[in-house]
Amino acid sequence: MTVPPSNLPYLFAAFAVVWAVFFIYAAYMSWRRQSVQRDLQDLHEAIESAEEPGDGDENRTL
Amino acid sequence: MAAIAGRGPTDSPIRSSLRDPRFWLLVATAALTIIDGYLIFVVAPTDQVLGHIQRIFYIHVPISILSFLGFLVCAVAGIGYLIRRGEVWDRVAHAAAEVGVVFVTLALVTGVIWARPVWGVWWTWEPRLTTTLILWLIYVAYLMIRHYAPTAQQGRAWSAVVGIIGFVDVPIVYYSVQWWRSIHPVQVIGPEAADDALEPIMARILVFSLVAALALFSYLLLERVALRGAEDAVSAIRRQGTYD
Repeated sequence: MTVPPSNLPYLFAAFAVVWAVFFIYAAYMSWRRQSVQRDLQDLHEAIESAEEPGDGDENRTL
Repeated sequence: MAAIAGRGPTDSPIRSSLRDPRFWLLVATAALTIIDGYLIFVVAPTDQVLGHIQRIFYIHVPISILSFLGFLVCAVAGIGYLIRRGEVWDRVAHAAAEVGVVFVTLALVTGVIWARPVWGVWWTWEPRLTTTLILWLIYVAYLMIRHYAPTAQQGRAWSAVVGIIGFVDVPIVYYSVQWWRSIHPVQVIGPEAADDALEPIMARILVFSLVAALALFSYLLLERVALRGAEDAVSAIRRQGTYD
């Protein structure tokens, strides 16, 4: 019976690429979501501070 | 987003994460992936002809199937958007297309890595590979249309049409190994798979790999939909521009 070739570098490459891509994609989305969430919080704070009475400038651009 | 948006004034980030179902889906995905790795590398028998390289099959097949699922969700949500014009439909369609593109890209890459030692070439223009590459191009075009359309409204409508029509390629990819002369292995899962296509132990590990990949797919899809929701909220406030 012939011994099948191991081809381990190819096997390692395939799993490494798959796991690396999924990890990077998930990490990117998590980082991006936190960044967008911070923007959203800043915008809400800007709106709230502009709505406070006697604040003066009522036509500020976001 | 839910983790932060739902946070109370005294909540810590850790406590709010624990309340987020996506966090638990991520934990389940990590656990399933670790067990799957053990099954693939330790429990699964080594193929007598192909050797260890055959183990790529346990990620290549689930990733390919879940890319099809992504494009199915994209097409269904695209139909929903064209009928109802609801933002949520568009968010789901966009998220599913993007996650589907990630999965089909990895299906192509793992296929190429498998082909080199088994076929002796990195790429060949055989039916399964060619139709899969066309599928990849269709949904990359979907994402580009959203980006380059003159208005966001047009981008949503045009991409929905591409997402629906593009899905026609999915059954063509699946049946390509039967319809045309192909050197790609025949189906081992789905309606055309033979009952004895796999050893029972291999079939069970493949099903487990499919469940693990489905958990990952679900997590990525929910995360992407949440991200789109947050991006839409910021855009809506910015579009307003000024406030009283």
